[in-house]
Amino acid sequence: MRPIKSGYIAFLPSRKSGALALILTFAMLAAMACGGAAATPQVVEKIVEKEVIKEVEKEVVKEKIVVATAVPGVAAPQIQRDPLAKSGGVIKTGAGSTPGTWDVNQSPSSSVLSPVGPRLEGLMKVNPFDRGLTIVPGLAHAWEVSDDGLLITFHLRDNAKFHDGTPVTPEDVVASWTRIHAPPEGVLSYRKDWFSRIEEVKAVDDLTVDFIFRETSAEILRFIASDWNAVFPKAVLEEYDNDLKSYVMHPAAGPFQMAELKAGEVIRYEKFQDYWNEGLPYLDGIEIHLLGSGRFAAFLVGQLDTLQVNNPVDFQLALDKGVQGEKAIVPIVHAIYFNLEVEPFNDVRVRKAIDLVIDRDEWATVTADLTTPAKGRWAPPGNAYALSESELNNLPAFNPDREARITEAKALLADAGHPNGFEADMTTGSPQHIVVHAEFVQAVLKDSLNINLSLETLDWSVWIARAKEQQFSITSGAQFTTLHDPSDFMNVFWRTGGAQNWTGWSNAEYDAIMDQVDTELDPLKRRELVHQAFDILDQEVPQMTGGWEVDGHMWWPYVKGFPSRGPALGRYVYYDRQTLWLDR
Amino acid sequence: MTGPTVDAPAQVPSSASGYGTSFVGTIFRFVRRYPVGGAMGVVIALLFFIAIAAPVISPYDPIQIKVLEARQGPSASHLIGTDYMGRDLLSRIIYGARVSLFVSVTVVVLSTVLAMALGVASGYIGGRFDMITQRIMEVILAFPGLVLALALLTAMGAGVIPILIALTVVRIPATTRVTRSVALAVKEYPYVEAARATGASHTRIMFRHVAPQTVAPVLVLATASLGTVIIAEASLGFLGLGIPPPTPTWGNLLGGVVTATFKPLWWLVVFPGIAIVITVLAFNLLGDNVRDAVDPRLRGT
Repeated sequence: MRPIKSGYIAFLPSRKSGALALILTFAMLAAMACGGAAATPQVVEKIVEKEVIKEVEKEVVKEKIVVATAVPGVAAPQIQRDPLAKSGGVIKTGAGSTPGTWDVNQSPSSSVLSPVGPRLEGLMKVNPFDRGLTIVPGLAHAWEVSDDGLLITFHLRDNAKFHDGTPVTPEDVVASWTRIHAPPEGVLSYRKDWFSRIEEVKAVDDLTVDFIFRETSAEILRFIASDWNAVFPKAVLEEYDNDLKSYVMHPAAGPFQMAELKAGEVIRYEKFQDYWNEGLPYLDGIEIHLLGSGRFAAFLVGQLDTLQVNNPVDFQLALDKGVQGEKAIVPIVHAIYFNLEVEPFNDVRVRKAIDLVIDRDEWATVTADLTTPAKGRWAPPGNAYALSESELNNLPAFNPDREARITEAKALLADAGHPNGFEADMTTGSPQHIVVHAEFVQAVLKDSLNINLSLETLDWSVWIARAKEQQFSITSGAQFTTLHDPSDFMNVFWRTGGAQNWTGWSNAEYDAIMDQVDTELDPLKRRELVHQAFDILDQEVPQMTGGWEVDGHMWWPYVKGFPSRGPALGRYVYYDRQTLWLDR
Repeated sequence: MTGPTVDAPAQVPSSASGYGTSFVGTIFRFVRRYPVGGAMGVVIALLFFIAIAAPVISPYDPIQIKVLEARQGPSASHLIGTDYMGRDLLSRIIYGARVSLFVSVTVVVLSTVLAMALGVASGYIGGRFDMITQRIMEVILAFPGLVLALALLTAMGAGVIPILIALTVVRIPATTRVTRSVALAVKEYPYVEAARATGASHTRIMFRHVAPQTVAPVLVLATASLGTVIIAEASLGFLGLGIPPPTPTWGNLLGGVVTATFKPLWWLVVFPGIAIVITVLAFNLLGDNVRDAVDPRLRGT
């Protein structure tokens, strides 16, 4: 067994990654030298050209992928502290409405993770301050991965407490993680597929927990470090039959504890005085004001200190007012889905024809007032597995020659027996950008291929329910998941039976490749496998993938300690907000 | 056996309104007495002309997208700009008049005819039928109109026919109450009693002698309602439950993308808004003047 103290480094997919990777690589080597490490780190470097998003502009950078499967003896990176930080104060942020559930494990949505997040603490967490490059300790101060990758041993710190004053024990970890990877009947665990290879989680002694795996799991530490995977007191889980949906004030071990809920008005958190990481959080409290669509106006006039702002027009408006902000691509894809059982969409030639005539730049332009989807194919741009700009342009559907695409599409449609087009019913989810994409596709298909689509708008919840049952012919919608890892989004979106495989597409070869992707520990081999899976998707075109969502996070200049998000970080991290501080 | 009948005056006598007997003469006198109403009549006529002549006068195809020309402000090529897909806004407003006017006129005619029949029957027949009918109307009136229309559209789905049904249902109770109150009074008039005494059937009495007396107040109500229905259709379009894309309506021009951002492009807000304001104002002012013309208490001496 090779001990590592959270020096686990995965891919480095970021826009400044060249310099950053070099610095971190040298830092690691220096730390190893100073620490007198016995073993040699396994570091692989490779230069690749790839497209990343910088704000709304695109640039091609030379990115250095740094891979280290194990780096023994490296001092554990800690979450960044600001020597200038001032303690005290209450930060105000905004959210839409009172969450419908308070149990993050039983929810798929960041609308729950955001208001519940300040109280949560897991075994470890993705480091928000190096754009997700490393993993930093949480309730576990160290961990070890066995040589065969089938055992991870977590060493718990002895000073961690829950908000109810009880100490965090291995039994609490076992109870919480059993609920995640093998939930009892009647309890949902939205992300249990991430951990399908866990055989058992068991307590070893008073401060040690073993995670035993049936098979190796690629990037498993990153999955475990996700904000969703918090630890709760075993006694509370037992008292509530593992169901915390209605337990508003439930305790956890995070930097803040819940103080008050005024439904439809505000959620108040106060600093947890016994938080294990002494000196953190800096803030005395957090107020999450539930303001619906009025929250941006409240932010703009200074009533809120920080806010997630996805609308690019609003984002720019706030920047012009002196607000600071950053955008990040998240693993949410906007797409047109075909029912593969319904004519004529069961014919791959028809699907390819539609895929060809939709111009991805125009797709982004038409919703520029609402969102600016990032151009990509089967992986979010900026992701280490995504195709570069030049690779994308080699795909028929991304051919810059528009006329050539339309000509090819017409030939395909004629070959499929529809030289004069056809008529079909189309549905769309109700979010405005999804409606606009539907309108856009409706107009383009009519104009280019004489395909007449009658459009029906469905409430988003109705759309989801119908999409799960493939109750559509062709539909405009989205798929959304958590992590930038292909084992997450490529399984959820396209594997047979995937939770958001809206088209019901099934391909044995793709599934077999994904089995390998899920277990392959060599990142370069894994990348090759992922691209093989992409090729199959390109051949079958189960959906017309339009673009990937871009989130915006904004804060007033007096708010300090906000991490710089990167492609590896995505949406679902840093909800504990423990390093924020107010400079006023 | 059918006895001799005594017909009541079918409407308020034309001489009583003071506008002569010919249609043109009536219009002429109305315009002279109510110039604002006359001007609004011209505006409304112009709107109907625009709607009918849309394919001829519209500078562009209203659903033709040109993404390269998206979000352009007013210019020589696009007089009031383009939307987020590069569609010409003026063309979309012109075509939008078709839907807005068609929906408003159809809803008002349908709801008025149905409400008149229901109100007259309810007031004339009375008893249990009246009680049940009025309780149903009260149930409908208990819901805010737009909320009820939203609920009906959610159940039926969006589209022209569902919108016509939803807005008609919402409008029926108010007109029914007006016609019922007139019918309650008129059925006690001597000429109705005389008709009954001569053996006229209830159906004949209702439609020949009572219903015509409700025309004047209903006409006023209908004229004023045209503007309300345009607003309702626009509101439903604004909320995403109106006529589905790509058909342009004034409501969906103002809704959707325009409302999703804190600072929308001004021409996408101002020009559809002006179209709605002008139309609603014209119908309302005309309705006011028609009411003044047919109401003896407001006519002056």
